[in-house]
Amino acid sequence: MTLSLLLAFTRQDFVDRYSGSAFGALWAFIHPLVMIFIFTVIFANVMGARLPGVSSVYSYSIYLVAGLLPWLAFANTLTRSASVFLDKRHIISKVHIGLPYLPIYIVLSETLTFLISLAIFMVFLLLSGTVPGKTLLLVPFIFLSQQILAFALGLLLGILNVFLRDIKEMVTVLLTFWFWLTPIVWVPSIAPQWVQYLQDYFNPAYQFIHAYQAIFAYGQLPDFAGLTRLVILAHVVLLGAWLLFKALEKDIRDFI
Amino acid sequence: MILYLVVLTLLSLLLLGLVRLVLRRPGSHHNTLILIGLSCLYLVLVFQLSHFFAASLQ
Repeated sequence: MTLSLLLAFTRQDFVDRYSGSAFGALWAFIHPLVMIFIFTVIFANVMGARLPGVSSVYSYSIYLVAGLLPWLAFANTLTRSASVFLDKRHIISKVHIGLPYLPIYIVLSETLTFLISLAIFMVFLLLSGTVPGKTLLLVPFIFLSQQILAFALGLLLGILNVFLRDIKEMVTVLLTFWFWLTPIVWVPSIAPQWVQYLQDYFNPAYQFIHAYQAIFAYGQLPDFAGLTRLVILAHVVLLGAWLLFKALEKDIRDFI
Repeated sequence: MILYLVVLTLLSLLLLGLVRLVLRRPGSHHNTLILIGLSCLYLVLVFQLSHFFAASLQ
C-alpha cells in the first residue's frame, strides 16, 4: 500500500461519513462547535463551575474540552481500529494489502477530525482571551504519542477481533469505564492520594489528557516524566502488536 | 526559544534522514522494528529536550 492509497482511503473515509447529508463535511465543524457551545453555556454560565486556582470564568469548560477532544480522537481510533479488518474484509479478500496499514488510515481520519475540532477550540480560546503560550508547541508531540498508543492498541485488538468477535463490544464497554476513570470530567485533586498515584503510573490516558489540560486550562508545562512513560509504553505495545501480527498474519487472512 | 526550535528542527531532520536510510534497506521485518525504536527515541528526546529548555528558562 502506497502513501497515495493511504490518503485516498482517509479521504474516502471522511467522505463516506458525511455522504448523503445536506451539510456534508460541514458536520465535522458543527459537532465540535455545538459541543464547545453547550459546555460553555451549561458549565460556565448556568452552573457557574470554576477550576480551583484558575480565575477565568470559562476555566472548567476549557478543562473539559481540552480533555474531551483528545479522548474522542483516541477512543474513536481505538474502537474503529478494533473492527477494521472485519469491516474491510471485502477489500482484504480481493486485494493483497498490508493489514497494519488499515488502522493507519483510521488514525489519519481521526487526526483530521481532531484538527478541525482543535481549530474551533482555538477560536473559542482566542475569543475568551485564554490562549496558551509557547507550550502549544508541545501539542503535536503529545497527540503523536497518544495516537501511536491508539494505533498499537487498535492493531492488537483488531487482530484479536478477527478470532473473537466479542472484542469489539468489549472495547466499547471498557472505553466507557476508562473514560470515567480518567480525570476528564472530574479534577484529580478531588480524588484520594492513592487514586492519583494509580492514575500517574497505571493510566496511560491520564498522561496525555493531563498534558492537554495543563497546557490549555492551567497554562502550565505538562509532566514530562509522565509523557516519557507514555511514549515508552506506546512503543512497547506497538512492538507487541507488531510481533503478534507477524505471528498470526497468515491465520488472519485465512479467517477473513 | 529560538535555540529550542532550531534543535527540534535538527532532531526532526535527523530522524527523517534515518527513516529514509532505513527504508532504502531491504528486509521489511527488521526495518519496522528499527522504525519503532527510532520513533520511540525521537519522542523521548523531544520531551526530554522540552523539559531541559523549560527548566533552563525558569
